[in-house]
Amino acid sequence: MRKKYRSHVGVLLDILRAIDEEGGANVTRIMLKANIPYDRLKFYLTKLINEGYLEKRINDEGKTVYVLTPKGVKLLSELLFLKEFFDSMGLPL
Amino acid sequence: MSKLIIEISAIIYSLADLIGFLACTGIVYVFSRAYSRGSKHLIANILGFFILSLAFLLESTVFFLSTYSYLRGISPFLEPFASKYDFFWFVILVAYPLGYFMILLGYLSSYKRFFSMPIILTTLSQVISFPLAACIALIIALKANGKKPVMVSFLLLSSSHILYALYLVYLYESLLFILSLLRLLATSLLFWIIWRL
Repeated sequence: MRKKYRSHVGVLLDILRAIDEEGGANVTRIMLKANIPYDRLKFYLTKLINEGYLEKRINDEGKTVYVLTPKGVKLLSELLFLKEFFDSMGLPL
Repeated sequence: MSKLIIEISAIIYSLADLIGFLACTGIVYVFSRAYSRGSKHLIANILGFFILSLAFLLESTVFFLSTYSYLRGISPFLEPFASKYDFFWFVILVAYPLGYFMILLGYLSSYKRFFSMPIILTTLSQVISFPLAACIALIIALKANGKKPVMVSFLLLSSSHILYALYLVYLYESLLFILSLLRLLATSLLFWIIWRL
């Protein structure tokens, strides 16, 4: 079967949604939920942190997790809106 | 009664175009937001819907002006077909097909992992050429007084275009072989007509 095409924005949405659903997630959880390889995920995480959409925190177990900043929450809601619109237009986001 | 129908139809048409303009402008806005977030593949869709919105706006304006002149008794209905509106009609004539074409390209290129742009363009050009060549064959058939070679030539060319489009989608070698033979036959027929002169 043909692999479903995901654009840059589609990948961003999957990453943000994975983090949001977990309420803060580590790299492995994001990789699994967003279905993205480690190298590519590191690129996106760095970019999102630099642009103020994510921040790194240490959880109770001493592990590094990524959480959404208020700016990140806003971006996620915008991307969800775009995703719904694109679905209705029959286009991949 | 017919005057009333014309008036109502023209107002509805003008209104529909205006709504079309607003809808397309909205779509361009939302696509632009996605584009600015990194969905660069949307450029063809944005351009297509932008051109389409312009076509809707222009047509709505022309229809509105036409209806207004008609209601005021200044001119007959669709007087805009007169030369002073030629520019508007020309823009509309170009804008609709161009807009739809760009949108179609946008949709096809969104699945670019599956198709490549040169293949998409070639397929489209073959699909468009098929009915055009068939229409030429039909006109020749009606007008050529029993002389068939040119008509047959265009019919064969038309068939080869649609087979080429199918080949680009399904990649069956046998299709390529058949369309090559048809193309050879078609061009040879055309050449023979010139040669015997």
